[in-house]
Amino acid sequence: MAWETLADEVLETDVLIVGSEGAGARAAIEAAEQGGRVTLLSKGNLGKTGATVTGDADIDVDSRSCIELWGRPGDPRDSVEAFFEDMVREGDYLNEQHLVWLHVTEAPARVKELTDWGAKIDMLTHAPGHTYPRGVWIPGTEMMRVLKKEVERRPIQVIEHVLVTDLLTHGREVIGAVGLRLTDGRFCVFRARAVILCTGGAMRIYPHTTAPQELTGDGMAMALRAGATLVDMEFPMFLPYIMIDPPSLDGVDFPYLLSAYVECHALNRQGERYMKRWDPERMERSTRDVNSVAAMVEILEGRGSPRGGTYLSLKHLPDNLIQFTAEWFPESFAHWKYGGFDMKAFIGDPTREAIETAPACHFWNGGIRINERCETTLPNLYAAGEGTGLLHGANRVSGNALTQTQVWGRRAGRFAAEHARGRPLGPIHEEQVAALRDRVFGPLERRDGMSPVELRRRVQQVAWAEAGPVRSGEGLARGLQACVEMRTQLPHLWVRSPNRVYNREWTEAIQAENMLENLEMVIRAGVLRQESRGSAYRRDFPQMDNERWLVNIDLWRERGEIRLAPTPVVVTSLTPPKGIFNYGFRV
Amino acid sequence: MSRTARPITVTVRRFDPGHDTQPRYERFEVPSSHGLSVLQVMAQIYEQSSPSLAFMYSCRLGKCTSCHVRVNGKVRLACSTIVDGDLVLEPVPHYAVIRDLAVDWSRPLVSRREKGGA
Ligand SMILES: Cc1cc2nc3c(=O)[nH]c(=O)nc-3n(C[C@H](O)[C@H](O)[C@H](O)COP(=O)(O)OP(=O)(O)OC[C@H]3O[C@@H](n4cnc5c(N)ncnc54)[C@H](O)[C@@H]3O)c2cc1C
Ligand code: FES
Repeated sequence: MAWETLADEVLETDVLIVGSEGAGARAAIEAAEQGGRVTLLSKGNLGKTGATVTGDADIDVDSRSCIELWGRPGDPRDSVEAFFEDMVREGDYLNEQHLVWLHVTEAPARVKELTDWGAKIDMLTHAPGHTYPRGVWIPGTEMMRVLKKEVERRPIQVIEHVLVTDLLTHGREVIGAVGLRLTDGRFCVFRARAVILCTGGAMRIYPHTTAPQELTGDGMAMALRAGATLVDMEFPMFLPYIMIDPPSLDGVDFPYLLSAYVECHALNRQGERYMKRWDPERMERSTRDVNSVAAMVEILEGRGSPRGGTYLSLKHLPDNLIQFTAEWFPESFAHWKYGGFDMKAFIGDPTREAIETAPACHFWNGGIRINERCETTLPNLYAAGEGTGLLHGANRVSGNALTQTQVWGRRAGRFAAEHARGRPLGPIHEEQVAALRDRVFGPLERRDGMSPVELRRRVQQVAWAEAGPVRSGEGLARGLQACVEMRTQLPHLWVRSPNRVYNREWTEAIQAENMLENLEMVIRAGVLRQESRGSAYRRDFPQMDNERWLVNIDLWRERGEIRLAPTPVVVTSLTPPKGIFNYGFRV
Repeated sequence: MSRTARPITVTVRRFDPGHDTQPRYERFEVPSSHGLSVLQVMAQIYEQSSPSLAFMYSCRLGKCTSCHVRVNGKVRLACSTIVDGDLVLEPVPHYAVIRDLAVDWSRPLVSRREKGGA
């Protein structure tokens, strides 16, 4: 078998899980319970990579179940039905409702497992968008501590520092994956009976993001290249009031949290509280989408701050009141210390200076299309967690991403393991392995060309200007043109250092293509959707149009071209209101 | 905000276990600016002067702990440590070095005591 000579390492398993955190670890635990060999791959170290460990972190369960399961002071008026309604209403009715129902009804058992495994829970929070308090407080670090322990207790093969670069296919069937061992540059072929993608979002296509650096949408890009359908890609979610200055702290959500507890003023460079033009009653307390969109309009219209954001100011408040904030602010905030950052050292005195902030990409609402069994549109390929579509619709409520990892990670693990049982391994095609290997090694072997760092910056610049929270038909067209140009540069990416051991630029070269792939999907779906909804605002179509746009936009690649098809939303019990509505006012 | 004019000198321990027999210390100059973190310094060296620099990080928020390095002899999170002068950067002790400042967190070095003293 000649293909084997192309691989530095070949591995066979029943269920291959790409991505090791909330969703991936949970899938692995369940797949192992089902029996069979389970292999869990991670770009970094288990428990130290991805968004899960950074969770702040509320995990949603309906309030009534909280009382029943942990005797917590919840609100007994809550129910799974009420949770269901909040998710669909806040998702602007684009959620696939039977998935939402499974989600709310399975959430209590999944979070209970975490506490049975030893996760300590703190308070129950009531975040905006939820009618009742539902946020069980389990920090991401605590959640990953427990999941890691449960993974290590089971016969699960964990392989860290592997950058999976593509899926292997036989016709439309997925039969494994290829990847690069980052610690030594070996090229690996993974053969599997079922593959689960738990690779998270693509927030890194934006220059400002709360998400870890490695979340470059690899899984979504791989799925697209293999022929899978993705959905809702026009809805990356943004959080307002995220730090952009100093650059070291770009992405830190300190001002956002501050604005939730103290009355802050969002100002443009003329000193105007621009929120009055969007939501004169609630001002900065409006929803996070409206705050993000309003700030972005100021930035795009040239009324922003020196680093391209807007200001968040406390200066209208007396000094002693502001000082007191640093004492009573919950948790890790005493003396202006926040998450290990000494804020006074980094940003100066908040009683005197405004903080430069911008909306930052925080979450990926869309992703790979899955059904209730976590099956994608390709045989043998499953997906779970962030980077799958349809659950949150156009906007997710706080705390519900972590619940998603547990409910859907477990489902994926179960159904993939059942499916893998007794199936043969698919036949590997030599030309395919050779082509995928060349793509990986190309940038390392070239002697000249374009820097991956430069391409990454360009992707981020285009994403921000044309495909951020605020878009227009013209801008999206410019963005698409830029994508076409950037695509021509991919074959010229060049890694300056030939060292194969943990070569950051090499990783960036591989990720750059994935970032571009994701940006193009955001733009193409954004062009098609001629209205404003959830986290995506179109200046040329500023209203939410339930007459025409109660659709999920499907996206797939056919003969090199991205195809799109609007598909009517699946409604089971909550009928969306008819009509055309002003943006940002949930109906 | 105050800006110090003088660039800072950063001395970095470079070592590739597969090729080198000895670590070497390389010096870089990085412009100083307000609110500069150690991680930002490493990123600047990587992007502007030494693309081969190996270092590890993920969240930049002080949460994942993958960016631990030795800063002037003390183990610190690179992302949340502010720079206030010249730096000596070395990998943390007690973990296998992958290359330069990157260590493998899943491979703690067995201490002498655990081995029963040798
Ligand atoms: C700062 C922050 C705070 C948040 N707070 C909350 C909160 O309080 N409540 C809430 O519900 N949600 C919160 N979220 C969202 C939530 O944390 C995430 O949506 C969720 O954890 C995603 O889990 P996941 O398992 O799907 O993906 P991740 O946790 O992102 O894991 C992705 C995994 O895939 C791996 N991977 C990616 N690409 C590859 C590749 N090519 N090859 C191999 N491996 C790969 C990564 O290494 C990682 O292991 C927050 C997000 C952020 C960024
Ligand atoms: S990068 Fe995560 S703690 Fe520093």
